[in-house]
Formats: sequence, structure tokens, C-alpha cells
Amino acid sequence: MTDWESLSKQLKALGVELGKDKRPSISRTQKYPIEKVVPGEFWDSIYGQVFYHQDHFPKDHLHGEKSLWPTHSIAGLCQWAGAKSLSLADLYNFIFLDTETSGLAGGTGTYAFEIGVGRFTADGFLLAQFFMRHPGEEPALLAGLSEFIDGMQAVVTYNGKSFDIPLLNTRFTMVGLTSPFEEIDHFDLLPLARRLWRNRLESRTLGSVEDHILGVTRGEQEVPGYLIPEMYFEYLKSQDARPMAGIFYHNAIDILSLAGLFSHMAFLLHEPHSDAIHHPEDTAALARLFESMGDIAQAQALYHKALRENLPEHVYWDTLERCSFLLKRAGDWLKAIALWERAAQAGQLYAFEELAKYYEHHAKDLGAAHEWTSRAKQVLIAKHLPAYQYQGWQIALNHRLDRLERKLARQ
Amino acid sequence: MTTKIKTILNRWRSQSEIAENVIEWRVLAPKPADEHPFPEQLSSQLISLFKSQGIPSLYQHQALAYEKVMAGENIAVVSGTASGKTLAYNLPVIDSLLKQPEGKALYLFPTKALAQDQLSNLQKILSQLRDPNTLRADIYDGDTPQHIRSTRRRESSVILSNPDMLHTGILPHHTGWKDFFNALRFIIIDEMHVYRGVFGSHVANVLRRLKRISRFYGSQPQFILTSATIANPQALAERLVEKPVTVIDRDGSPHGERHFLIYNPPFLDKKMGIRQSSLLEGTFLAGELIDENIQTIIFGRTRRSIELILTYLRQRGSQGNPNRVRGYRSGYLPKERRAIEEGLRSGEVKGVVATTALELGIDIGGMDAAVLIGYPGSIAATRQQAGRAGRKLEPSLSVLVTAPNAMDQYLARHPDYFFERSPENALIEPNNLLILLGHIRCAAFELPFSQNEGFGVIPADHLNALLTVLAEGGELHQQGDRFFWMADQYPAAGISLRNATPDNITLMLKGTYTQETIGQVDLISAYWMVHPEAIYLHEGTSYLVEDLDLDVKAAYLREAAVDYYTQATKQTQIEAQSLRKQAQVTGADKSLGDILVTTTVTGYRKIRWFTQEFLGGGEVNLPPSTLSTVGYWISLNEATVNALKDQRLWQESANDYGPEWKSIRQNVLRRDGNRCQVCGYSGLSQPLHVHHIQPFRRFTTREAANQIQNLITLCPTCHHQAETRVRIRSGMAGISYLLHNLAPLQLMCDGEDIGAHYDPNSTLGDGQPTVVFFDTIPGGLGLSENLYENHQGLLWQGLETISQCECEDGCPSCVGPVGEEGSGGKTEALAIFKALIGND
Repeated sequence: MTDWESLSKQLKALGVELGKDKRPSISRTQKYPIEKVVPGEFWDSIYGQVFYHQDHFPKDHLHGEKSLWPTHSIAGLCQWAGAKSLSLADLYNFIFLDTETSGLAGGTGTYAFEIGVGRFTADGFLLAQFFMRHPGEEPALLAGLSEFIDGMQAVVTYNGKSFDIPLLNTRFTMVGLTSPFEEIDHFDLLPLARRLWRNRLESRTLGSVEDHILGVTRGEQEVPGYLIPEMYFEYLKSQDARPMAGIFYHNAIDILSLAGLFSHMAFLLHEPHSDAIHHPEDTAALARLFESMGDIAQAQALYHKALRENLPEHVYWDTLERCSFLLKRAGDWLKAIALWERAAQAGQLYAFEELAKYYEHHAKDLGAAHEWTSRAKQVLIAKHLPAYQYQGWQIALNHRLDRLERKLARQ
Repeated sequence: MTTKIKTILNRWRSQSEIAENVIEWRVLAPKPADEHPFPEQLSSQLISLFKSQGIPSLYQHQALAYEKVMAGENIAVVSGTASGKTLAYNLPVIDSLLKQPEGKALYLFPTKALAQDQLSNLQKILSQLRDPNTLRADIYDGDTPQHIRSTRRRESSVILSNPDMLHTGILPHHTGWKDFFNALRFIIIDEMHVYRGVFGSHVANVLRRLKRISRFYGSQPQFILTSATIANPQALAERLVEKPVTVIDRDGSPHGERHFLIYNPPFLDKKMGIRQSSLLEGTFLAGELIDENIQTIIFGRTRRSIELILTYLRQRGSQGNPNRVRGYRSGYLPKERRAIEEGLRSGEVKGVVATTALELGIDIGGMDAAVLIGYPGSIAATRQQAGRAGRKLEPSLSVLVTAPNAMDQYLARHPDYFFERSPENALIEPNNLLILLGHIRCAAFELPFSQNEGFGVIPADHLNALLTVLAEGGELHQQGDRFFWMADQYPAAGISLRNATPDNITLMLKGTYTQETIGQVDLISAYWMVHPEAIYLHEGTSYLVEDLDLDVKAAYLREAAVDYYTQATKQTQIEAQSLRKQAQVTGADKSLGDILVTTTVTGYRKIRWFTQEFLGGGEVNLPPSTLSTVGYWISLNEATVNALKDQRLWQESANDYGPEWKSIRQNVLRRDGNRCQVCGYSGLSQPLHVHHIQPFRRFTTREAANQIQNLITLCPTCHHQAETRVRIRSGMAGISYLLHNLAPLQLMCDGEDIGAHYDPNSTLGDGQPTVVFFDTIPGGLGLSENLYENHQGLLWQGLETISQCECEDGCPSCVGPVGEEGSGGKTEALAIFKALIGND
């Protein structure tokens, strides 16, 4: 067995690189505990005390340019989330949640050291942020959180399906508690934000969405998310909680943005035709969303509305194509043909193909079908598609042309 | 079938050009099965299932394994290839899970391919259960698609995986396996002999982590291990799982008559010890077998040799069916492998050429004959590969075709190793600090450590010291009596179970516009492999190293079409840090201690391919590299040195060249124009040396040695080369060469895992001539310690090898090849061995 006494020396001889900071920060004579830096209290949980900070926002609070409080029914949003049994009547039982963690690696060694939650109350919005002063307080942190959100019916997060909730489930398992999130509905707003603003925003991070959609600008206290783990490690060593104020601020804005976004999305899904929707891309995106949710009538109406507005070129043709297929499905051939002819003029290959199909199988006009197919081949040659696409089209079109010629010859 | 093998054996016996090379011909009599009735406890369902498959009883070792597992013992089943080892663990596991369906089992295999094969074995049983859905067995490894992982975690009763996946994918996410760990009853470690050296030392630590997590969820699983035949199954098993283990090594499976031949290719040059190529000879024998329609498996050592053997065999076969002989390597897709197996069953495939991928129990069924081209590197592997031949009770044939190196030649003369007790010790050192520390990081990530907790057999106070070091480094946070992982990292990702040190040099290939990474070498090897101006060979292409940047850990290469390779010249210094053990032995002192090996790469030589012509060289300016490890050294005592001197078999390095030396030296310098006669260096910054072409000690008189035609002017670098080459011939250097080559036989390791160094006046041995063997893994893995303990045995093996070698004065099979200077030092080495062993 190794001689354990001169351990560090041995490790050095073996070329072991230990962590970046070789020495713990010098503990200052002056300590700054969290309760001196952030106003708050201690929650008495079954596992002991945990620090938490509360804040309250009145019903008419504006977060950025938008109302925090939902101005419309949330039924559409609940339907989207697959939580049809929930409605505005359950609003007080929604919990808005965001965690600050010791890293993004995941796995059992990543801690959530601060858990922020918010919920609507009769007179506004209540924010509570639970914070563990050291990892030994984790059971109290989780127990406190569990007690605070007891009776909730749904949790709202941003990217919580793949990050926050699995992480918290792991933490609850680690301390031997049952996770409160296993049974309740989960509204992860990130996938919805992606669908709504894919074409309009370059990035769909919460920061980008709150900026562009809600009009929120963060203040000077804000700390960028990537610094947060290191700041917490430093605090653990120095016991100087002053930099934690920035993390509390960051987390609070995240929660408020989550609630603001929730209300705004509820509005979009409830009133998709509203004049307050200024961006035609949003209308087109809503149309696609309703189509995917199976509300074809609503989707059709929104596609038409979007096509009348001033859509950017690529969104326009995509919307037109989707709209034409809904018309085809409904058997509304005349309207569909009108759209395809418009698209064919712009050289959209699918439109030629659809027209050829229509004339071959429905109108039984083999000559017209042949004509559209031949024109498609000319367009294809002029198009300079990638080889695999080109070949795919070439095979399909030649196949159709052959068949049409055989049929024509038989006539 | 019987007649075919008999026919060819008779033919070989009568053909003298074959028969005279067969230096060993063993015939093992057929052995009937040692049968045992199904245990009474065994579920009736399983009994009737086996009976319906025509299996009326168990082999003895299977029955014994069942009994011991049911009694709650951890067991290790040691038996040969195709002996029903798999059933020995499947039986108790399936039986237990049938009786307690909520239970779980974890099967660990060293490779993914093996897990695939064993899954199909297991499913053959599970699918025939009365309710085939009660027990699910699934693979969970790096290839398992994300979307089905959670189903498998929840629903599988048996998970088949590998230690690497356990290390990076399962343990760090154990909360997702809560129900699995809760009910974990069995851990199966198949082919445990593979877990030796660095890999085994890592795996032992992964198992410590596994036990720790199981304990967290309240389970204490039982271990079932299997192994090929090794010398120390119990010690290895107990070191791996750190629990008492019962070894079951009675093999009750039957076999037919077995012929085992050792074929030593004939000499081309007996004096120089050069033999005909084992690859050509072995391929010829395999071809003869295949021509007789005898299904034959041929094992080659490398991928490249597989390709060559395949080409030769296909050229030989006139029939032109390319499927007659198939290759079978790692990396083949399951579909291709199934096609080959199908071809073997149908008889279309007559020959399979394989690398070691097949050695690990893959189910290819029995073959009629096996040809092993070159000793596969361990006795266990030889037995496993030879064991491929033999189906049921039919006679079978295995041929080992030996290569001309020391180990192959030693074994050719000591075939008993293949039949009797194995000499091989599978060694691991789970407490190697480097390896241990990495797993403590991982374990802390998985679950906080508390102050009174140990780790495996490491007691709490020792562990605490390490945890404190990690806490000071900022990776752990100590709060009260607990240590929490507090770093934004996933430590398992940085630790490969196959390497000891995480430090690697990345090889960057410079293109015109871009850089790409073509590989990695470990830091210690980088100094001599990729120093500036070295030629680095990678997949058949030569690259010139332009720069080695140790700060950013990268070497920059560009492609170079050159007709030479480079050989680094290095100076090695070894100092003892502390002594662990020491003893006086015959003729010498033997010691074991912690040592520091400092190696400086000082220069390199360019050597032309094929002709081995020396094309000049250069200097290299690199800092020394150090290796802190464990070493075993033998220092000749004064009496031995004196005795050797008396026999004119020894000369101390400090020669007395006589009073005229000064003027002789000046004459030589003048004659050579004050320039190094090898590289042309003019001696501006370093003085020139005058070198004896034939070593001084070879002459009986000083005058004869100092004749001007025996002297040459050299610069210090070239002089060092020349001296090194001369020294290599010396007796001690011969001993170091030979023992270094033989050591893997008892250590079950690769040659690179141990280093050897000879120093005529070493500080380790207080100025006495000393040869040192050391672990090349920082901190050591117990290899040198094992050599220290088996000092006498090792020397005997060396003595036997030299005495039986037919070369004149040194060859690759004994003390190393004879150099340009002539003498090989065989006589000297033999004298030293005799002095170290004594006269009895």
C-alpha cells in the first residue's frame, strides 16, 4: 500500500493535475451571509431550515411591454400541452419554475442550488426563491420547495422537459424523497416558442424571446448564465454571498418572463386573429400550429390570412404550399389549382407535380397532365438542385411521363 | 471427419520436411462428460425445458456453480472454451429470477460483440419459458438508441452491458436506474481474465462504485465471475470484487481426442538465429488442412497478418469460391458474422481467418482444426484459441506455429505450460493512485462521500486524505462530515478505462488551409515518438514531425515521402525514492522500491528502410520526462563481478587505456581531421571522443586494443550511440533483453507494460552493475513486485532459454540479435545466469 502521508507530493510526482484553484479562498474576517445580502426568511421544513426570498407583483404588473397576468383564456395553451382538464379556473395551481445549477453536465453530481418558483394569486403574482447555503442543506431545500408547491396541478418551465425537471427528479431521489413533479402536467414553453418564432427570431433562448416578444431589458444586476456555477463555487469557499444577489435577480427575471410568456402564448392561441398580432410570420406559424393540433378550419383561415399579408418570400411559398395541401385534402380543387398555378409560375416543382396528378387522376385530362410534367422537367433542369434531390425528382417525373405516354398511346 | 484428421496427421508424420519441424506432438485422450443430475431445487420449468432440448443432465461444474450461488456465495467459474460456462451462470440467475420475478441481474462483458452473442444465448432459454414475457433481457450499451433506453431501464430483468458503459453511462445517472439497483441480485463478470493491468485496475474501481451505488439503494448483489485458465483466478476475482470468492475449476465437459502440435519453422541461418516466416509456414499448414476439407480456424496476431493469410489462402485454393475462406475480425457487423457462421454450418466455408476478436467466447461452434500463427501473447489466449478446435467427441487438431522471438522459442521448448497449471498471473492494482483518484472523483460525483466512509478496501482515513486533496483543488466541497462534488464537470467523461493517464498529445496534421487530428499518443511515449524531426508512421503513411508543443499538448505533423525512419536516442537515469523490500540472493542483491525514471531524448538517428543504413542524425532539445513508478532490480555483488572478471567475462567500464593513450588519441584525431567520422561534426562546442571499434575488453593486451586501425574519432552523440550498441552485447544487457521478453509469461502483460534498463554502475545498486525492471504505468500495477517475488523462477527461465538456444552468439530468441560489431554476449550472459542461480 502506498504511503499516504506525502499524498500531495506523490500525486504531483505522478503528474496529477488537480483543480484550477489550488488553495481555498482566504476566508475573510468579514462574512456576508445570504440573509444580509438578499432580503428573505428561513422556511422550516421537515429537514431543517432553508433560506428563501419572496416578492409580490400586483395584478396590473407589466413585464416588459406585456401584462404578467393572463388577459385571455388559457384553454388553447392547455390543449397544446395536452392538459385538457385544466383551465383558467386552475390558474392559481400553475407553478412557474426555473433552477440555477452547479453545471450543465447533468447526472447525479449536478446540483440545483437555487430553485425559483412563481404562481398567480388572487391579487397578483408571488415569487419565491429557495437557496441552499451549502449542499448539506439540499434535503431542506427540496422539502421546502415540495411544501411550497403542494397541491399544484401543473409546472411551467422553459426547456424543463430535458433539463430542470429530470435534474430535480434526480435530486429528490438522491435525498430519498418522492419528486412532486412525477404526477403533474408539464408545460415546457421552449418547443412552443420554437414553433412560433422559428422564422422570426434568430435564437429562441428565453433571453432572446423575452427581449423580442415581451420587450424586457435586464438591468445591471444581471449575471450571464454561464458564470453562475463558478460564482456559486466561489461563494461556498468564501462565504461572501454578495455576488449571489445577481443570481437571485437573474432567476427572478427568468420566472417573470416565463409567466409573461405563458400569458402571451395563451393570448396567441386564444385569439390568433387578433389585430394585436403585428407580424404576419406569427400568423403563418400559428396556422401551422393549429394544423398540427388538428384544428384544420382554424389553420385554413390563418393560412389565408397570412397569405394576404406581407410575408417574407420563403415563408410565403411555404405557407402557400401548406395551404394548398389543406385545400386538396378538403377536395377544394379550384382553390388549390389556383395556388398551384401561382406556385408553378414561381418555378415550385411540387406544384407542377400536383397539377399533373390532378389532371391525370381527377380531371382525366392526360394531355394537360403530360404538359405539366414536361414543363416540370424543364424547370428541374434549370434549377441546379443538389444531386440527390435532382435525381429523386428526375426519377419521379420520368416515371410519370412514361406512364402518361403509355396511357396516351393506348387512347 | 475422424479419418480426415487421421489421414493428414499420418501424412505429416511421414513427410520429413514437416515432421522435423514439429517439436511437440501431444495427444490428449478423449474425456467423457462428468455428468450431474439437475439439482432438486431447480425450477421444474427449466428442467423440462432442458430435457426437451435433449439435455438430460448438467456438467459437474454447472451443478456446483448452481449449488454455491444458491448458498449465497460469490463464485468464479474457471474452465476452457466451449465448456458450458455460460450456462453455469445463466442457470442460477434465470432460476432465481423465475422464483423472484422482481429481481434484476447485470451482465458485464468486455466487448459489445460478446454481449450481443450472449444475449442470443440467453434468449434461446428465455423465449422458451412458459410465459416468455416474464423475464426480459436487453443490451444497454453505447449503441442502444436513446429513445428505447428508458424502457430498458424500467422493464429489463437482465441488462447486458460493458464496464465502459457502466462507468460513463449508468453509474453517473444511477437515479434513472433506481428500481434496477433496488432489486439488483446478481452481477455477472464474464471473461474476468481480460480485466488485468490498467483495464482491470480501472474495472475494479468501477465495481467499487457499483457496489457503493447498490448499497445506496439497499441491495447487496452476489457476484458470478468466469475466467479462462490463469494461475491466480481466486486472487484476481477477490481483488476485482473485494469479497470472498469460491473458485470452481473442475471442468466437467467432454472432449474427443485432441492433437496439439508445436511447429517451429526451420532455420534459414542457424548461426544468426533466423527462421523461416511463421506466417508463411502456418499458412501452408492451414492450406493443407483446408484442401482436405477440414474446417479450420486460423488465428493471426494483427489485422495486417489476417489480410496476408487470407490472400495467400485464396490464391492457393484453385476452386475460386471466395467464400471458401473468410476473414473474421473485430469491427465486422453482426450480419456479416451471422453469414460466416451460417457458411460454417452449411459446410460452404472451410476456413476462417480471425484475430483475437474470436477468442473471447464468440459462438462460432466447433471447428475441426485451429492453426495459431505466432504465440497469441498469453497462455490463456492460446488455450482459448486452440480450444476452438473440437466438436463434441470428434478428434481435433491444433497447431501453434512459433515465431522467432524469445517468448515463442521459450514456450516451444516448454509445452507443458499449455497443458498443466498456468504460469500466468493476472495482476491488477486498484489502489494505483492515479487510477484510484480518477474513480474517487467519479464516485463523489455519483454520491457525496461522508467522512467515515471507505472506498472498497480503502479505509476511511486514507480516503479522507485523498478527498481533502480534491477539496483543496476545488473539485469537492467539504461541508461538515461530507464531501460534495462541486465542479461543472462530468468526471467519467475524462477517464478512459483503457489508459492509466489522461495526458495525451494530439497529433495535428497541417494541411494548406486546415488542421486535422489524426490520432493521439500518450505523453510519455510522445517524447520519443513525436519529437521534432521524428518520422511518425500512421496507417502506412510517413509523417514528419515539425513541432512538439508540450504546453498545448500537440504535435504538428506534415506528410513526408521519405525512405527512412527515425530512432530516438535517449538517456535514462533511475533513482530510488524509497525501498520497499530487499534481500540477498545468490550472487546478488534483489530490491523492490519506488523509483523515479528520468528519460531524456537527446537526439535521433535516421535509418533507411530495408537496408538499415545509417543516414545521419540530429539533436533534440526536449525537457526530460519523468516516470514515478515501482521497480525491481538485481545488483551483482562484488564476489560475482570478481568471479566473472577472472573468467575474462567482465571488464569494468572505466578501462585503463595505458600511459601512451594521450598521444595515441592525438594521432587518431589528427588522422581523422578533427571531425566525427560518422556525422562530420567538428567539435566546436563539445570535445571529440576517440572510440574503440572492437571493445577494449575483448583484447588480451592493451597494445592490441589501442592499434590505430581499431580507433575512430566520434562526436559525443555518435559515441554514445556506438557505446550503446556495444553495451547491448554485454552480458548484463543480454540478461535485461531476455528477462524483459520472458517476464510477460508470468505477468500476463504486454512487453510495453514493463521497462528494462541496465546500468554498469548504478546508484540503485551502490555502484554495482544493476539491471532494473519497472512498471511503465505511473505508480505501478504490481508487475515488478511479482517479478521480485518470482526472482528465481524468472532466472531459471532465462538460463534455460540461453542454454537451449541454437544460435552462435546471440539472436532475437535469446539475448538479442548480433550487431555489426560481431559479438552478442551470449557467453557472458550465460555465465551471469549461472552465477545468479548457483551451481546446483
